[in-house]
Amino acid sequence: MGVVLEQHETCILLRLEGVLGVGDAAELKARLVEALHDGKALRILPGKLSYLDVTAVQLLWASAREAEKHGQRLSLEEPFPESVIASLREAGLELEFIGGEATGNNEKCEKEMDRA
Amino acid sequence: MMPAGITTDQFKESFRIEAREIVANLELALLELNSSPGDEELVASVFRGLHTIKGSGAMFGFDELAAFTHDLETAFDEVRNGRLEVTEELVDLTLSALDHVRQLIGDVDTPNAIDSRMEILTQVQKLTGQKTTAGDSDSAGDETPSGHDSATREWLIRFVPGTEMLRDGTDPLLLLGELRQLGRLSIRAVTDAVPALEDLDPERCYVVWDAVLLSAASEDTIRDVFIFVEGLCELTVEPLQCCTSPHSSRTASVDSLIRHPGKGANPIHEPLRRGEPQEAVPTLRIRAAKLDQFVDLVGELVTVQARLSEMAAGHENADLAEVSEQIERLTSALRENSMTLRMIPIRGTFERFRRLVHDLAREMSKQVELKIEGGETELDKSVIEQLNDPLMHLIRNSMDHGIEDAETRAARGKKAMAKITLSARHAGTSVLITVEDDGGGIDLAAVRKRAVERGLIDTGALLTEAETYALLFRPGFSTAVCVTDISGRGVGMDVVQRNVESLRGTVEIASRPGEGTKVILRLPLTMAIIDGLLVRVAGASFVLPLANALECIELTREEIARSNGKHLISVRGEILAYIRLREYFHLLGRAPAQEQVMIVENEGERYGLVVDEVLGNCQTVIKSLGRMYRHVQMVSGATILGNGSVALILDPERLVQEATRTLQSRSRGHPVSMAGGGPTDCSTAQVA
Repeated sequence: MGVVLEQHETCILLRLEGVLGVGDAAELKARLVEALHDGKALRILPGKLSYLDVTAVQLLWASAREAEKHGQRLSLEEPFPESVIASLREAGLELEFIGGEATGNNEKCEKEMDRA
Repeated sequence: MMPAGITTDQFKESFRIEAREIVANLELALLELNSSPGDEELVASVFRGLHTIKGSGAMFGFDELAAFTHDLETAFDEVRNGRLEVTEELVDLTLSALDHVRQLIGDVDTPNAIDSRMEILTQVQKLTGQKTTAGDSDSAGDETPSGHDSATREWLIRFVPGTEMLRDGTDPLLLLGELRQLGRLSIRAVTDAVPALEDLDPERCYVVWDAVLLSAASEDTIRDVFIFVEGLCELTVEPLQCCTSPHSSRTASVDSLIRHPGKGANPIHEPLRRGEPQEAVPTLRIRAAKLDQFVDLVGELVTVQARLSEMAAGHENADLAEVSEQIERLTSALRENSMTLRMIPIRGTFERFRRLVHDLAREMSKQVELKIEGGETELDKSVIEQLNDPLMHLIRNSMDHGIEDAETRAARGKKAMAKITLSARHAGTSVLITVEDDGGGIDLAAVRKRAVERGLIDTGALLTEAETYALLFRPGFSTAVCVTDISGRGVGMDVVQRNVESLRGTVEIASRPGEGTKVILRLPLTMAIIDGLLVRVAGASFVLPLANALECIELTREEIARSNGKHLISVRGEILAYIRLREYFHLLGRAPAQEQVMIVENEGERYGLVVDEVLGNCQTVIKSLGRMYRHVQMVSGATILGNGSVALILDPERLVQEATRTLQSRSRGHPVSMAGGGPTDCSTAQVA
């Protein structure tokens, strides 16, 4: 399973790792719902991903819309493995919310992560 | 990667099931090709079927199967590309090959099978002018050199994954990657249908892809990319006529084509832009044994529920009565639902006989067309499963004894192309399966003569037409002059009757000399549970199928006396005959002052069955009476009532038939007695 959720005081980190396919989709949805329910900033870290299928992409899109609706911050942060981006682009799938400005909250979160 | 919990053996078994279905469909398509050799759709479907068997076979380790199918696939690739014609020889070769494919799917090989397969492939090779590749397992995954047109053109492709595609283990991104290998691909994902996170089914694909492909590949080659998800997705592949340019170095932008159709002036964009992806109706494949077990459990539940209802009726407890009623409603709904699950259309069984008719016609040098009617008629799974043998015997009989040779048909002014019609239709609680031919009919004199020779009847015996036909069902009876491979041993009709009777059905024959023969199999709709009406006669309980019952009226002693022993009653001006079950079954005891007449209908005829008391509706789990009682045809089974006692389930139609038959045989040989036998009384009434 390549979905790891970390709760921090000011943010939630969702680490995506390895191959994320249809078999992981239910778990990924549950984690995203859980993270968004909390209302904290959600930072998604895809650095260790090796493959992302359409189910995961759909869930990330829907989560981004959900976060936007509630004024919640969601960022899909770099580094994003080039090979994964390339395979998505080849299928016409774009994850436009890659990156994210370094906000005060993010800085706090970084510090919390460092402490952890 | 294999989903967790599923073993290789399970995958192989799934492949076997699907491959058998594909082979059955291939057989039908090939037989249709015989009469429509120019039908491109049929050619394409044969190619796709062979391609699927080859590809899936290789994937699941059926290497020999994949290699064997490869050359056949190549042959049909040549056909679809216009380089080879569909001939009877090709169809027959492929049909023979399919028999081997069946063996290879089932891992059942017969002696000399390899030689036989090589012979088939050698002949296929002669037809296609290509080298045979059987035995070379590497060939299974190879692409054929064909499949590419010389001209490069642009194709507009819309790919709409169905709801079950991802769950089935297919990743659309991999398919799009494969599509990209065919040429230059410009692609756009339509994401409008992706719902809110809360409503999103995580294992379903909501994305639709529109793509423009610049490629020399043919439409079939493009479609072949999606061949394993055929049925799990919607696929549109259309040439972009306006933009076709062999020298074009770049593809048109998908967005420009779809958002600005006016520029391309291509009408195909319009349907592409319309609507959301249509949801495919999801289906689930369940092991038949599991379904049987489920229906058995529902049957047990129905019996227990009947017991609960009876207990609730005996206690004046409102809560218990309410719970009992709720359980009764739920059980009834569950029962109906479970019965629906068991019902399957008979078309599949009928279609299988096309091959038999085709092969026998070739063998016997006859021209015979098989016509199928009412294939959508649904029957209980267990009934359909046991129909194969009887239908096979009846068709073989028709082909061998019924359909005349060409000269005789010509002399009788008949068309050279003979016809066998297989049909199914509902008739009350029964389904009628008919096998009809336009052959020479049954020679009654020959049947009688043979029966006398075999000592079955006396020389001077007077038999009705029906009684003469009944001789055909005697074990070993045949009028055939010689025994052929097809029939004539006299085992066919015996098997037909035995199998049909084991299904609580009957066989009827109608024949006209020189015009043809019709054999009607009358079968019950279901074998498991029926809605019934519980009645009591002289303390004994009986169940009448509710589907036959129209209404219930009273019958007084005065009315019985007024009819002067004729067993007739006037119902709103209509005179109906009735059977008093008390008399018919010789049940002792005095009848109540007021009896009940159940008016029942069967095939348009109405008659009455007189009982002491009508207790009410009941759902009845039919239990077989066993072999000892198989000749008691007026009783279709027994059931266990809520109080644990046993009630016989009556077959009203057979009851009347038996009564009529008894009367006829008595009136021929003996004086009719009005006093003792119930059958005599009711039959008199029936005739009157």
